[in-house]
Amino acid sequence: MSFSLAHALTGLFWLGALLLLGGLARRASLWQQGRSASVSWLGLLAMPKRYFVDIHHVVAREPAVARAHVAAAGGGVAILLLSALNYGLMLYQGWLDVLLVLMAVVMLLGARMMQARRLQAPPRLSQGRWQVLPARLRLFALGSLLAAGLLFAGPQLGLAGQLIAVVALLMLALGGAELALGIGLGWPMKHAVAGLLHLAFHPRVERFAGKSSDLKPLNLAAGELGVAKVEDFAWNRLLSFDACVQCGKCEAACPAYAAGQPLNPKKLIQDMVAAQSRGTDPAYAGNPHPGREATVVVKPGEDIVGSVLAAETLWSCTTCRACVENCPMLIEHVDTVVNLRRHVTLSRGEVPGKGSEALANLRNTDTVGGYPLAVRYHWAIDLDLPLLQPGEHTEWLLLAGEGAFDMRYQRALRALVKVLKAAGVNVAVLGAAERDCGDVARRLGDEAGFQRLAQANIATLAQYRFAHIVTPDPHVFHCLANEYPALGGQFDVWHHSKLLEHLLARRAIPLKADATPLPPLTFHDPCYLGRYNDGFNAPRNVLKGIGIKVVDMQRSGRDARCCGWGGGAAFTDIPGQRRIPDMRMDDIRETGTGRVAVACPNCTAMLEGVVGERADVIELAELVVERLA
Amino acid sequence: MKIAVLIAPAVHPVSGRPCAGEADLAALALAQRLSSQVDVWYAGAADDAALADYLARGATHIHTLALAAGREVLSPLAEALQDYALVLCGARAGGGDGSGLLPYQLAEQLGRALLPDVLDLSKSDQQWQALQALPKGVRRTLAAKLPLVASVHARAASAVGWSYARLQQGKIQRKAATGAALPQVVLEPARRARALVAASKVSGHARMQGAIAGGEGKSAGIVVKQGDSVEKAQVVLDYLRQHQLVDF
Amino acid sequence: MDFSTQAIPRIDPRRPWVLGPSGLKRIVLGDDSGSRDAALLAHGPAHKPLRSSGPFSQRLLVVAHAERGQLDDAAREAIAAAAILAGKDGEVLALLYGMQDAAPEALAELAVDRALTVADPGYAPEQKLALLQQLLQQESPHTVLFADRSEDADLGRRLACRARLSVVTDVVEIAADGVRRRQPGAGFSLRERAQVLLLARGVAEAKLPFVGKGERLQTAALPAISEQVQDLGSAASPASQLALEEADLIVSAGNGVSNVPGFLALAEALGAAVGASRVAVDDGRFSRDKQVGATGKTVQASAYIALGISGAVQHLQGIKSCRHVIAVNLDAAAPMIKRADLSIIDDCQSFISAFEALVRRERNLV
Ligand SMILES: Cc1cc2nc3c(=O)[nH]c(=O)nc-3n(C[C@H](O)[C@H](O)[C@H](O)COP(=O)(O)OP(=O)(O)OC[C@H]3O[C@@H](n4cnc5c(N)ncnc54)[C@H](O)[C@@H]3O)c2cc1C
Ligand code: SF4
Ligand code: SF4
Repeated sequence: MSFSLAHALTGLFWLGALLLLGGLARRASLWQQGRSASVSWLGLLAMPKRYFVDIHHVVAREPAVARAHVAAAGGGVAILLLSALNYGLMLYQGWLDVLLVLMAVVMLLGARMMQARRLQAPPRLSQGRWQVLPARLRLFALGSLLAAGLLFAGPQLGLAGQLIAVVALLMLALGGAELALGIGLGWPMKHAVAGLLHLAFHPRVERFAGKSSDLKPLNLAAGELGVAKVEDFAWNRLLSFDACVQCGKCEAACPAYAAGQPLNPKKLIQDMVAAQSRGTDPAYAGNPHPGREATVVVKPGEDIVGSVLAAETLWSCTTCRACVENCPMLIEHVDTVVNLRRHVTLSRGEVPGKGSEALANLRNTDTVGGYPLAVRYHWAIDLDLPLLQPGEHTEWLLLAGEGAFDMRYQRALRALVKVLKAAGVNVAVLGAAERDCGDVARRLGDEAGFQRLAQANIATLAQYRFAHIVTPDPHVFHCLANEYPALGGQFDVWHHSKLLEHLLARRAIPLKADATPLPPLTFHDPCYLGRYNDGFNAPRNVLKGIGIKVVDMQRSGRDARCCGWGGGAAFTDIPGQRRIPDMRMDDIRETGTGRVAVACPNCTAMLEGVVGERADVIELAELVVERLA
Repeated sequence: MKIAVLIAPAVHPVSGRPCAGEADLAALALAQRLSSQVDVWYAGAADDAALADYLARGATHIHTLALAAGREVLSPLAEALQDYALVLCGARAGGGDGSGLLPYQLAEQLGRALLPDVLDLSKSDQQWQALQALPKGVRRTLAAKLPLVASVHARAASAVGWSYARLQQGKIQRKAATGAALPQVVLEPARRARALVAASKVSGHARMQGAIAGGEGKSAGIVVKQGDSVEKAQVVLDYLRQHQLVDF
Repeated sequence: MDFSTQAIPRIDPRRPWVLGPSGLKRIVLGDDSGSRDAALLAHGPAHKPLRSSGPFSQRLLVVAHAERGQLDDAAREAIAAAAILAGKDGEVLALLYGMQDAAPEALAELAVDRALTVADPGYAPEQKLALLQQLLQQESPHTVLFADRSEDADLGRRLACRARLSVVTDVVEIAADGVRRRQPGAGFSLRERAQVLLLARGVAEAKLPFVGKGERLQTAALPAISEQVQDLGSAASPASQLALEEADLIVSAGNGVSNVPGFLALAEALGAAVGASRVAVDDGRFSRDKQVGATGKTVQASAYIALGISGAVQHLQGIKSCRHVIAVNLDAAAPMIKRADLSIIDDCQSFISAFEALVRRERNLV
């Protein structure tokens, strides 16, 4: 009898393996719809490190889930490997069965923990097949336990043993189907195969070596104009969508979703899955884009935007990267959003709201607001701020950015210049030669506009001699520091928070001696300084350096909520239930400090645009200038 | 039906760069709404880059009659447009002279009726009907037979959004043309224009009073705090009447 | 009405009343109405001398369309320009459409010496051109002036093209060395004085210290010439449906307006288009196409009445080119008050109902 059970297991194993391979082949054919991408097969070797280090980094933020996953997945993988040895290769070793029993117990525990969590599933989790997955995994683990146990201690059990064997085989078949068929039929366990391959062939491999948040340039000369149809995605992007576990971490982090705008990043990724699988996968069973139907109609051959995905969904995104930061499967939502936007903007010219006006202004005036370049530094007229001449040298070149046209933000700029002067910093500006950095153009999908501005700025900057660039605008900072290099512009760019931190650390800024304690305040992390550039500490150190205690909001640092401006969202202004800055002001209110420090011209404008009782919004430099001796 | 649309680069009011003019874009969009055979014409000295905005906003093909700077464009245009039963142009170009004279000159030269400030065009029976925009939202319906010249109001229709792909695909076809030389104009930097003022025999005191009141400057707004709502309402109505902002 | 000057801090106490540059009285606060009228009488029409009693050896012609028997500022400025340019021996001749009922004194007050008044038939360019050409032949004026807006602008261009006269449009300055017009993107351009001048606003000071002779030619009929284009009639769209970008008078509601039906009734009574701040739109009080500001519409109204709007920069961006801004707000420190030409510190709700009642009464709408 034990002989026949073992052979049945061998049969089952190979059947499962075949089904899995067949399913993988089918899925791979879907990925093949995409464009070619330059990937390295060495990625397969790097997979374990990426799994255990990079993914762990994200998953470990939720320890209970991490433990459950380690047990279930670790147990499961071990069972499969052991079965491959013992039954696949027909070794039939008793000691391997002992190990199998142990692993089955581990997996069982993991699956149990998952099931328990599913009882009170947070709303961000998808239902449907995902809801029953833990039970299926338990079935598989239990089947393994029974089968292996039976084979180890089996012969004594007689008829009961035969019954148990039948039950075990049934359990294994049922539970195993989940594993074997997942990849082919788009069931939840698809994520295991696709997820691992995604780690190997990640479209943004450099993120495993360090920070990588820059958008990649399009080769416009080669006719690249963004993604219209599934076929326009690189194949490994399509693969990346299949890695999604529908955990909804992105959904929970997304400010646009919380504001009731029609964007749910999880659904967005699933929309891409639906588009590439032509709707053959099981129906999506999670939260829809707010205010929209959950079902999508896939019309093969049609553009994604307008069929599978509503344009408003695309334009609701603030590119805040909260989703990317939280995704355990390392999926790159922002790249996807921008790739789709590029098509809508470059090919169709359909940018909603004031977005198209902003782009027209950039084309016509090189400023977002349509201002004359000559007035950018009018606020500094009495500050004796040198205008850098071509050929002249300065230590620091200040780029004020678009905030220079905003009367409110000019206060902050004046404060910054005063502080730098007091610290004896050698600083100068470009005056009318400074153009917009291209951030808004690029996030709104106008890659052509971005590249024009970037190249013009790079050519301009090449005429001047300076050691470093400093800017108070995190968007300017991000563009110059991270996105200009791909176009040939290498500069040493600092956000002003870092320069102020540096100067305070060197005691270069003369501060008032009196130690009147300053009231505490809270700090709002700008996305493009924080999540995009890990600039979490510098502004906090500046505040500490001038003796102000920071009471952090619950959502701060890496988890900070966007102010709602980024990605051109303030221009496209897609309606929702609430406004993102209003929610951020609620976060600020919760700290009870009544004051919030900001480090970005756009956060300043957004938070000051909140009506009713609101906290005072003060720029970092304004706080420092108050403490000047 | 073939429709000709006339376009010309506008000068951007802030940067002075060439861009598309609002009314010309509206003419293009209106023509495209009316017919699938729309020919876009430009006569003048501007280079292709100055016409780029029109390509990006839906003109797939621009016929350019290339003239040297400072030449009149009327006769070459009139010659090229003779065979079009319907010629549309923006009511006012945002560049060049921007005098709004061209539609009139063209209609005169071609011996056709001109429909001014058109918001919409439609065909009914043998006639074309035009909706004309008058100030304060008044609309007038005009009817005429082809051939026609229409000057199109900037709010008539909106052209498709600016697209890089359309810009890349668009074509400009140049043909050399000649026109008579226009008188040279002398350009001067903008300043506050001096209004004609009648020499006054009023007393110095009265003139002082006038001077104190200043121009239409924004320095001193009037703030009314006292009185009840009825009185304040009267103040607002007085103000509106004094500045002829209401007509009752 | 009794407004104490102390409560009106922005007004210099030394000038209880002021004469506006256009000769129109500005609001008089802190003074009773009797003395105000007396003060104005000193500058009334009765005291104005005749510009010139002739004889005239040359003349200028001004052509203007009146609306409901009244000439607007632009047309008045065109006549004033002619009167200032005419000189002692020059006569101001006017061809006025829609002013058949004007009294000679009214024509004299406009500084017109001789006027031909014709009923306005609406759209009839061929007939109007024929009459105009007839007049040119009879009177041979050396210059014909039009205000460069709407019907006058149209007729002026037609005349220049039909009669092949030299023409300069958008004239902003008439000087000894020629005329200046605004050149798109290039400041001014200087031209020789042409036979037909189309005048931009502000080219002349409409307030004149003299009067004209005010003679009236026989009221003429338009020559019976067939038109190529048929006028099928005009219609005014109701103000509430007027596109904000086109509206000349806008009432706009902010967070301070809670009584929306009352507010809409006021707009209706005034014949004003309806605008709103973003907050009022977000709250669902108004549809999104009513929003004025950076992320809404940019408007160019002559008058913008902001009710309960604080005046955040993003809102002010949308009303940059409004000529007159009137603010009603409870908070005298609101930024809108700084932008406004006239500010009323009052509760919106009671102001709106009072204002609506007043407007209805004045328009006999009951
Ligand atoms: C990127 C961005 C874009 C924006 N775009 C726009 C835009 O396009 N348009 C726009 O309007 N806003 C825009 N805003 C919002 C803007 O910053 C302000 O929040 C908004 O304009 C405020 O609207 P409000 O004045 O109606 O409301 P509040 O700021 O709440 O002001 C209400 C005013 O009414 C007064 N008031 C209250 N009650 C009464 C009463 N009973 N009687 C009289 N007065 C009363 C108060 O004193 C106050 O001054 C934008 C903001 C941002 C950040
Ligand atoms: S995209 Fe990432 S974070 Fe969002 S549901 Fe999928 S796996 Fe979770
Ligand atoms: S980038 Fe921010 S706004 Fe966009 S989908 Fe992700 S979380 Fe949402």
